[in-house]
Amino acid sequence: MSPTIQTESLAKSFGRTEVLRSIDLAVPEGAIYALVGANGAGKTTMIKLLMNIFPPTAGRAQVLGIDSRKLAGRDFDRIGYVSENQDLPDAMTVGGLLDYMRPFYPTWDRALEQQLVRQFDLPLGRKLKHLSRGMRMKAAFASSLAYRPPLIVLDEPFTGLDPLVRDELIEGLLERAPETTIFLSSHDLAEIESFASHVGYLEDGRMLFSDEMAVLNDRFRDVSITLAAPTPLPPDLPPAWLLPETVDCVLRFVHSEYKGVATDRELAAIFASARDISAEPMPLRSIFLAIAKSSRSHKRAPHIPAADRRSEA
Amino acid sequence: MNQVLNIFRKDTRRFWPEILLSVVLTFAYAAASPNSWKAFHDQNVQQRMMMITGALTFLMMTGWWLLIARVVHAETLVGDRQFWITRPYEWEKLLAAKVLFVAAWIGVPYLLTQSLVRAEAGFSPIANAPILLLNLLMMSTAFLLPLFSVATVTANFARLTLTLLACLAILIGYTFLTNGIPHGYIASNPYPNRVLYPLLFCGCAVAIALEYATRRVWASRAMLIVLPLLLALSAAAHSRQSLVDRAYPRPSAEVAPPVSFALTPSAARPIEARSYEGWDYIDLPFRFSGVAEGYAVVTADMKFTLTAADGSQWTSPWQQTHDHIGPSGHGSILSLQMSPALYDRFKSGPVTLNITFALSHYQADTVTTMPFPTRDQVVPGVGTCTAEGSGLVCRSAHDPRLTYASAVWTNVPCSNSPAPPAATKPGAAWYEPGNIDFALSSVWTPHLYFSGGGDDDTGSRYNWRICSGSPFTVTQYHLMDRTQTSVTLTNFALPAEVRPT
Repeated sequence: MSPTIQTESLAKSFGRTEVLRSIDLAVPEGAIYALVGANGAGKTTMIKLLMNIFPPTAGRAQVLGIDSRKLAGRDFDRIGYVSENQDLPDAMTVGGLLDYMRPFYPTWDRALEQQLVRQFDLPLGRKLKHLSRGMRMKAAFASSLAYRPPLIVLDEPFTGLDPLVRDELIEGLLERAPETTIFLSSHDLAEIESFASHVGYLEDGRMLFSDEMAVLNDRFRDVSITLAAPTPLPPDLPPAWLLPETVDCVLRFVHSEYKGVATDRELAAIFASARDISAEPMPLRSIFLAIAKSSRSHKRAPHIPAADRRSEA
Repeated sequence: MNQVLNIFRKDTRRFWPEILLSVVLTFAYAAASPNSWKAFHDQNVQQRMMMITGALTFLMMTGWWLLIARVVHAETLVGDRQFWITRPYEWEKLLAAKVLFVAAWIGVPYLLTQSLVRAEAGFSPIANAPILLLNLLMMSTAFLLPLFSVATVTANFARLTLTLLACLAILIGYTFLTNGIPHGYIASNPYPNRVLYPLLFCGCAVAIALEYATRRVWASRAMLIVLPLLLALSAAAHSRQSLVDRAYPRPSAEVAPPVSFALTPSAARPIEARSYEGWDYIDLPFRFSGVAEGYAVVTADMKFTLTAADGSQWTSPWQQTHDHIGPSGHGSILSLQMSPALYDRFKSGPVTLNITFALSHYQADTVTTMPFPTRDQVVPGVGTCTAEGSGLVCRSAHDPRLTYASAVWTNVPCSNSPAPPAATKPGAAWYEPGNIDFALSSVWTPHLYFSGGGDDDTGSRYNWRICSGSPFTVTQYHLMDRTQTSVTLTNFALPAEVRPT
C-alpha cells in the first residue's frame, strides 16, 4: 500500500533562507501523523508545499498519489485542509459557508454536516467575522470534514483554543479517523500525544526523526544509574545516550535505543558496581526536549537509527 | 457550469450593495447623457449640466472599479492564506464566474442603458446593436479588462488603488512620450493605431488567464509591466515624425497642388514674433485659396525650412496645424515654432522660408440644401439637430464624416424675413470626425458652430443671428488622397523684436 503522503528530499528556500532541507517522509494510510516542532521550524511551509500553496525549491512530494505541484481543482475533493491562519470568507454566515461549499463536493454528506453542526454547536446564522476564534475553527472543521475526505491536513489547528473547544475538535476529528489519514502540525506536544499514531520532529528545517508513537515510547528511556562513589562523566559515551550528566553518585541520560531486557543487561554489565539502575518510560514532551537539547548542544542531529529517520513507521 | 453559477450566486449575494450602487450610477449616467445634445439657452445651466454629466461619468467608472475589485478579490489570487486555494475550485470556472459577474452587472446594465439612451435620442437600439456591442467591447478593452487584470495581481482594494495611481503616473508619462517628441514639437497622428486595442486586449487576457491558471503572481505582474511598454512602443511607432512623410507623400512635379497659399500681412494682422514657454513663434497671416468647387483640403502638419544668405539652413520637425479649406478659401495664422537660439541666428538677415504642408484632399459627395433647422430636425448625414446660439447641436447614431455647413448671418430680427442683402453675411462651420474609436456614450454629438458672426466693424456679435428657415447647405466629403505641398517665400525677414506672451 503506497503512503498517503510521501516526500523525497523536499526542500524550500525563500531567497537565501533555507526553510526546509531535504525532507524525506512517508505517512501511511490511516495514520494520524503529528508534525511537531518549535515555532519557525518549517511545519507550515511543509504543509503548504504538500498542498501546492508553494512550489518546492527541490525534491518532490506526492499526496494521495499526485505530484504536489500538480495538485489543483478536483484533487481537493479528497483533501480537507484547515489552518489556524487561513483567511475565511468572513462576510459569510456559517450556514452560508456550508451552503456555498456543498455543491463543490460530490461526496458531501448532508447528515454528517448536520451532525457536525450539532456537535460543534455552530450558530448557522452568524457571520464568520463575528465568531470567536474557536467557533471559526469549528466552522472550518465542519466545512472540511462533511465531505469525508480521505486525507485531512491541519496546520496548527488547536493553537490558541481553550481546552474545551480543543477537546471538541479532537473528538470530531477522531470520529473521522477510521476512514481517513490525518496529517497535522503542532508546536504543543501535549495536545497531540493523546491521539497521534505517528510523529515527526522538525527543527530548523530538518526532520530530526519520524516514527510511530508506540515505537518512540518503547525506544526512549530516562536512565538513572546510582554509582558507588561520585564519578566524573566518562568520555566517549555511546552516541545513543543523550544529555548525559552526573550529580554526585548519580549518572543520568536519555537512552534513544532502548531495547528492553537486552539494554538492561548491557547497562548492568557496563556499570557492574552500580547500586541501582532504573530505565523509566518518558512522556513525549520529555523525549522531544531531550532530542532538541541534544541536537542544539551538538549542532547536529542526535543519534537516531538511520532506518527510523526515514521512516515509514 | 454548476460551479460557475455557484460562485456567481455567492458573489451576487455578497456584493449586492456594490452592484446596486454600480447599476444606479450607470442608469444615472444614462439619464444625464441627453444633456450632451440638448440645446441650453442659459450657459450657466449648460455648464452645470455638463459638470453633472462629467461627475456621473467619473462616479459610474468608480462604481465599476469598486465592483471589479471586490469580485476579483473575493477569491484573491495573491497570497497563501486564502481558504479557496485548497478547495476544489477549477480555475477556468472561477474565471468564468468572475467574467459572468462583470458581464451581468456591468456589461448588461451598460448595454441596456445605452439602448435607452439611443432610443431617447431617436435611434433604434436594435438596428444599431452591432455599434452598441462594439462600443461595449472597446470600453471593456480600454477600461474593464485592464482593471480586472490589475485586480488579479493585487491582494486587496488598497493595493489595487495604489497600483492604479502608479499606472496613472505611467500613463501621463506615456502620453507625454507619444504626443510630444523632444523639444516640444508635436506632430499629428497620421494613422489610427490598429495595434493598440488588440495588443491591450490580448496582453490583459493572457495575464489574467496566467494568473488564474498558475497563481504565479510575479509572472503575471511582469507581463502587465511589459504590456504598457509594448503599448507605448506601438503608439510611438504610430506617431513618429517619419510616419507623416509616409502618410503624406510628396507629389510628382506635374501635379498641381490642390490649394495655394499667400502671405497676407496687414495692419490688423502683421507678421509678429512672440516667445512662449521657452520657444519663439513667428505668427504668419496666411490665406489659403484655390480649392476647386466640390473639394476641400484639411491641413494636418507643417514644417518649415529657413535658408540664410550664407547658405546655412535649418528645417523644423513636423508640427501640428489644423485648417479646413473650402472653395471659398480660408484665412489663418500659422505659428512657426523654433528655439530662441535659432531665431537669433536667422533674424540678422533676409532668409528664404519654405513651408511644407501635409494635407488631406477631400471630394464632396453629398450636398443638401434645406432651411436652417429649428428644433430636432434631421440634417442628412449629420444627425438630428437643434439650433443653439451660433450653431447647431446635433445627435447622431454614428460619427459623421467630414462636413461643411454654410448658413447666413443676419443682423435684423428674424421676423423681418427675408433680410435685405446688406444685413447678411455668410457663416461657415466644419465638422471633422474624431480619432477616438469609441465613447462611453453610444450617441455622438456633433456640433456645428458657424464662423463669421463675431465682432467686426458691422456691430456687436449679439446683433447677429442665424434665423430658422434661412438658407442652409450641408456638404459631406470623402477622402481622396493625402499629399504634401510647399510654398516658398524669398527675402523673408524675421521680426526684429520678439514679444513676450
